[in-house]
Amino acid sequence: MSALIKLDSDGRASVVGAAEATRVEATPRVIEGGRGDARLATYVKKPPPAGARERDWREDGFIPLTDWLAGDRAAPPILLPADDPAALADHIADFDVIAVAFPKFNDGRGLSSAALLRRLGYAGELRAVGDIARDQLFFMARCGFNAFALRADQDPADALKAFDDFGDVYQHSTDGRTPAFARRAEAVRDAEAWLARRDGS
Amino acid sequence: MYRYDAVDQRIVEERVAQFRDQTARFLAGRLSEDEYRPLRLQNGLYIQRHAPMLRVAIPYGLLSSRQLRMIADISRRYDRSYAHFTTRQNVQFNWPALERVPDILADLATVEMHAIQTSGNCIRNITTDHLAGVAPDEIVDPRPYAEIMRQWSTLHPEFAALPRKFKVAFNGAVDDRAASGVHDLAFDLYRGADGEVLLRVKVGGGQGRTPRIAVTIREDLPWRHLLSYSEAVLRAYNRWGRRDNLYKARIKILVEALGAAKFAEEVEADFVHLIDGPQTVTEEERTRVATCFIDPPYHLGARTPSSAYDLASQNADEGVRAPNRRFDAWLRRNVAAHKHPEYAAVTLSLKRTGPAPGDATDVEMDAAADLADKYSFGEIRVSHHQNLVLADVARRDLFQLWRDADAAGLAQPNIGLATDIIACPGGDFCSLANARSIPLSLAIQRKLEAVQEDIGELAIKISGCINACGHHHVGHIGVLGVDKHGEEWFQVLVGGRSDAQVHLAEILGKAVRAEEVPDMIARIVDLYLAERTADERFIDTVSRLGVEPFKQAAYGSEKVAA
Repeated sequence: MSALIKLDSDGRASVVGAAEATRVEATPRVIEGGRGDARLATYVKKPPPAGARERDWREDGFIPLTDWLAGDRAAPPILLPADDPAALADHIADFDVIAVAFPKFNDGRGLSSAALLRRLGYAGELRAVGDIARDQLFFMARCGFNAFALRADQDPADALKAFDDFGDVYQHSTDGRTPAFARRAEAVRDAEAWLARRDGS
Repeated sequence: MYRYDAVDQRIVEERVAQFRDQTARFLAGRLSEDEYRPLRLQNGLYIQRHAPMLRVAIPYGLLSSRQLRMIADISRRYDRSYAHFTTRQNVQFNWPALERVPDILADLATVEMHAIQTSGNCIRNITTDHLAGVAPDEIVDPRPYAEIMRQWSTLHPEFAALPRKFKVAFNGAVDDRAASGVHDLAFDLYRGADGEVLLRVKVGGGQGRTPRIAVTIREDLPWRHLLSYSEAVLRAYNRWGRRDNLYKARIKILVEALGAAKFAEEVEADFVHLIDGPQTVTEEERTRVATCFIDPPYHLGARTPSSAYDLASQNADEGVRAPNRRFDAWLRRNVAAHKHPEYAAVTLSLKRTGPAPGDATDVEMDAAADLADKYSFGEIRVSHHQNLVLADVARRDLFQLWRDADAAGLAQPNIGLATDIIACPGGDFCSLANARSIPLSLAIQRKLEAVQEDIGELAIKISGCINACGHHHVGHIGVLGVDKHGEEWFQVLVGGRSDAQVHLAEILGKAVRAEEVPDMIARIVDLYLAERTADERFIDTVSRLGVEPFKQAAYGSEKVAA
C-alpha cells in the first residue's frame, strides 16, 4: 500500500490516502522506444531481459500514452519517459488527472514532461507515479507535479517534510516561484530572519 | 570575488542539513546504497578504492585566502593533511570518513563553500579562464556570467537527473584558457558593434571514450538570454540524450546523432517559449553580481625605481638577470602578463617532482594563503592545469614573492614545461582507473626535468582510464592508461591542444608498459629538438610535420603498429 501526497493550491502538502487505483483491465505490453522520430531514435531501447516486462502502469489506474492515443481510453493517460507531451496538446482540457511515470528515480525525463504539460496549459492534477521517494519530491513539485504516489516503502510523514527542504530558489521553474534574483531584497530579509532563528535555536 | 548574502548562505546551509539527513538515513539502513548513491554523488561524495572521496566546488576556480585556509584546516582535522586540486578547478579530499562528511560540509558553509553538484548526472561546477579579469587579451570578464550560471544551475529541479554529467565553461578572451572546446556546453563572450555582450553557444564537446570538439549552434546571443537558452539546451538533452548506454549518454553523442543543425533547431523551437520570460537575466542582477568582480585597489603609477622592481620588470636587461638564474627562470615560466603593465599574474606550481600533480599539503595551502594576503589582495585561483595562481601581484613585489614562495616549496619554475604535467589521481585512488597515473608522471618528470628548459612549452597530460580526467586527448603529448589482461599498459598520443586552436591528439600506436613510456616520450621530444625551427614550439612542429614522423620516432621505424 503506498501513500498519495497532494499539494493544495497554496502548495501545502498533505497525505490524502492511498494511491492504489482500480486495476484497468488490459494486457501489459513492452513499450517500444519511439522509432520514427529523429529525436527519439537516438534513444535506443535495449530489449528487456527474458521474462521481464515493463511495469504495468494500468495497475496504477492509467493507460500508457501510446495506447491512449490509439483509442484505449478507459482511464487517463500516463506518460512514459520517452513520450512526447505535445501529443496531448489537443486533449489538455479533457482530464482531471494525468500521470507521469518514473520507472527509475534517476531518469529525469519525466521532470521535463511535467514542465511541458504545464506549458501546454494543463491545470489539473499531475501525478508522479513509480519510483517516487522522499528525496525527489522537492524537485518534482518545482517541475509542476502536485500529486505524488509514494513508493510503498516510503514514510509519508517523513516525505511531507521534503517540500520545505529549501526556503528559497535560484531559478525559475514550472511552480512559478519567483527566483531569488528577481526578489533579492525581500529574499535577503527572509533569509536573514531564517539565519537569526537558526542562531537562536 | 562573489560574496554570499543571506540568501546564498541559507541555501548552502539548508543543503548541508538535507545531506546530513540523507546520510543519517543511509547509515540507519533506511536508504539503500542504490538510492543514496545519486544523492551523495550530487554532493561530491564518491566511494573510492580506499575510502570515500569528497570533491568540493571551487566555482570557476576562485578562492579567498580564508577559504584556502579552511581547506587546509579540513585536510588536517578530517583527512591526511593534504588535498588534491583537480582539472576542473575543484579540490578533493581523498580520505574522509563518510559519517563525518556532513560536518565537513558544515565547516565549508562557514566560508561560503559547498560540494553541491561536483559529481553525479547534473550540471557540474562552472569553469572559466584562471586569468579572468586580469588577462591582457580579455574581451569580456566571464566571472559574473559564470556566477549567474552557477546560481541558476544550483539545485535546478528539472535537470537533477540528466542522462550523464554536464560540464559548462566560459571563455571571454582571445586565447581560450578555459578549454571551452571540450565542454558539454560552452560560451564565448564577446562584444557586438554597440558594445553589448554577446554569446557564442557551443555544445557537444568532451573527452572521455568518444572525444569531440564542441560545435557552434548559436552566434550573437544577447547576454540576457544566457539562462533561457541554456534551459532549452538542457531540456533537449534531458529529453533525448541516450540513457541506455553509459558511454553514449553525453550530449556530444546526441548532437552527433541529430546533427548540429537539427539539434540547434530543437533548441530554438523551445527557446521561442522562453525568450524574454522570467529566467531572463536582468541588468540589475548582472550589476549586483558584477560588482563582486571589480578590480582590487591597484597601486598604479607608483614607479618608484628599486632593484627588485627593475629585476622583475619586463625590460630588465640580461646583465641584471644573469646573477639570479633561478629567479630568472621563474620569471620567464611562472609570471604571466597582466592587463596593467605594473602587475603580473603568478603561478605557484603544484608540480614538484615527487608529490602527485595538483596535491598540496596543509602547510603549503596555508603558505599559499599567506602569499595571497601579502601579495595579491587575498585571492587565489585554481587553474585547470592543477596549479594555484596569484592574479594581481605588483611587479615590484615579484622578487620578494619569489623568495617567499621558494621557501614554501611553491616556486618550481616549470609552468607550461614538460614537468608541469596534468594527471588524474589514477589507480592509486580512483576505482575507475585502469592504470596508475601518479608514478608514471613522476617517472616522466625525472626523465625530462634536466632538459625541460631547452624543450620549452610542452603540455603532457595523463589519464588513468578512458574517462580522460587527465585530459590526454588535448595534451601536446597525451598518455592513456589501458587494461591489458589485468596489467597496466599505456597508449601515447601526440598533437592535442585545448586552446583557441583546439585539436584532438592522435594515438601513435600500440600500448606499451609503464616503464617504456618515459623513453618513448624522450624519443618523441628528441625528434622535435632535431626538427624544430627557431622559436618553434613542440605543438607547432607537430602541426607542421604531422603525427607520422612522431610515430616512427616513438616506436623506431620497423616497430610501428598497424
